[in-house]
Amino acid sequence: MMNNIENLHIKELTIDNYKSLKKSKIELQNGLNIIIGKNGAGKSNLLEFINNYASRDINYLTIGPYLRKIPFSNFSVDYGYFLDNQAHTFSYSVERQKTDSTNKEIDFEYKFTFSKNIDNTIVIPSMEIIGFGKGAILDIKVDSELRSEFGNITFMNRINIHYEVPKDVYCISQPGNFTIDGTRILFNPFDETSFTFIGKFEIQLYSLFSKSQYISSSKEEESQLKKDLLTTLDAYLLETGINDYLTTLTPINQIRVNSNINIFFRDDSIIVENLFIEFLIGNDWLPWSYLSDGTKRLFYLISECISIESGIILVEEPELGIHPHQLFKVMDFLKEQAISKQIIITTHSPTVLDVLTENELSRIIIAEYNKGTKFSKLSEAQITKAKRYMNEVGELSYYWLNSDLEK
Amino acid sequence: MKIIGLIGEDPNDTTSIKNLLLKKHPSGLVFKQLLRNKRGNQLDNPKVAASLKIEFESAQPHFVLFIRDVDGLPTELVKIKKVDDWFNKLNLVVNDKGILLKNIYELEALILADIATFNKIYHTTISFTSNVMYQNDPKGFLMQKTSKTKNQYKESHCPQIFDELNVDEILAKCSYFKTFYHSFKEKVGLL
Repeated sequence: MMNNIENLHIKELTIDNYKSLKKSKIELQNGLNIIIGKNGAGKSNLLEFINNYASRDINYLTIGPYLRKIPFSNFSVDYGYFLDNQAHTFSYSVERQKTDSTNKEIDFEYKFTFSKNIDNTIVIPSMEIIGFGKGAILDIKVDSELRSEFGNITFMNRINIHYEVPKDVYCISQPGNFTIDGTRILFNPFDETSFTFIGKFEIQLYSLFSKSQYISSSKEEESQLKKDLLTTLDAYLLETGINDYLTTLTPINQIRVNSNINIFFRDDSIIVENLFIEFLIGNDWLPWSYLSDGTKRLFYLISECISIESGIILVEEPELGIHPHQLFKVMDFLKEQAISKQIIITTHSPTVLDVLTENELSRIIIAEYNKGTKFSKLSEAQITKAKRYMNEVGELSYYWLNSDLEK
Repeated sequence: MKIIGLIGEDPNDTTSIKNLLLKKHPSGLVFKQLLRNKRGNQLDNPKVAASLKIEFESAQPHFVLFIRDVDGLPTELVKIKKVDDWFNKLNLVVNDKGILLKNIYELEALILADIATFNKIYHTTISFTSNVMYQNDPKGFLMQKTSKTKNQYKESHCPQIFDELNVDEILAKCSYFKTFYHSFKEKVGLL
């Protein structure tokens, strides 16, 4: 059994026929990747694709009971990772072939191909899985050795930080109300897909209620439960270290769980109402609705980034609604986060580039639309020029603003 | 093919002059903006010199056109000296390969030199027979004259207007442009 897979990240992605992505190939690095390009170049389409398909649970995508409907032709992904201190790669590709001229989706054929490389040598023969129909995979043959290794790469965390802060998030923009029956949370208010940081509350509550010590439904127990719940969630907040980040990077000094939670027993269930986060700004504890749009986005960005320890974080335009001085700090924060994660940023802000050093210029990716979105790295001549701008003018951003960085 | 670098307020001034010169020299010349998206006041920034050095050495132009508004009349010597000093400083960066187009009062003075074309574009009947070099605020003049028309003149129209202007009219009526054009032809090797 193989263990300790580290730094799983996308190395290369080829996508054909997904929105503007047509035979589009992009090379990515572990750590920070910054994608620039004009409006309409296809940057957001790439992030959307990665979020929906390329970073999915590998087993789910390939050998789960259903194949997610894939609205495009085909793609291939190369992953890189470290195993026992050795750099490895594996890749899989999905091909969708239209087999009926009537253009009905039912007549598509799916074909998966896997391979594994160590030091650029294929050590396990390619494996193919073919499925037909609406998405159900009918015939699966899993190579045991390959399956064993893929079993260690079952889940790749990913977080997609959109332009807009998610709306209607329980415990943030509206109170979380839920019922616990035994150790089950019957009404789940934690939407991990849109706000991972808050979604993690659920794990904390499972941990708390699995102890099952609340059985008598007395007032004393209700009071104790409330106390335990607040202690648990506050401990979680402390553990994340979020308050330190917020103090440094935002107008928020601290966050806490609202102490006016209502907890009561009904039949065999526990009802929890009015659970939400409060924000300390200046000397006032404020609800989410009182925060400015920029502060909300800063909180969203920071809390999401620290919610996973590894995996992919996709960030659309970190500069949105953020003061330039704050942006400078946010970029340092993202760079720090990128030590253990793959962070893929799209941006229109030259300031974002100033986070890079001379040795990191290969982390810039230029997107342009030319019969489909094309991605490229800086040429040697551009890198030479970029270094001169950094040394002689003092800012890489000046190169982007005033010259031909995107050409 | 000769590459000619452009430095000036971008894109209005640089594109306008490029369009004008291309009318006289439709082939054989390639104009390249050396620094993009610059407004007038930004051209005095010390970073411009450092950036220009990089861009000049990268593009390797045959020579460089520096375009700058004086924002004053020929009698305002302090303002003229300021532009000359700016040019002399940056000309060193491009190894003395620069020539200066010093717009008196500003770029729009050249439009006044061919007011007939302007009238045609804006459907106006503006008459201008004075020396264009002694018109205060020609931009304001054109804006005021078109203020009650449907298509009011705006600075951003300049590149399109200069694409239509008659260069010979401008050479005949604007002595500073004529002097500049002489230097330009000399640099291009047409004299």
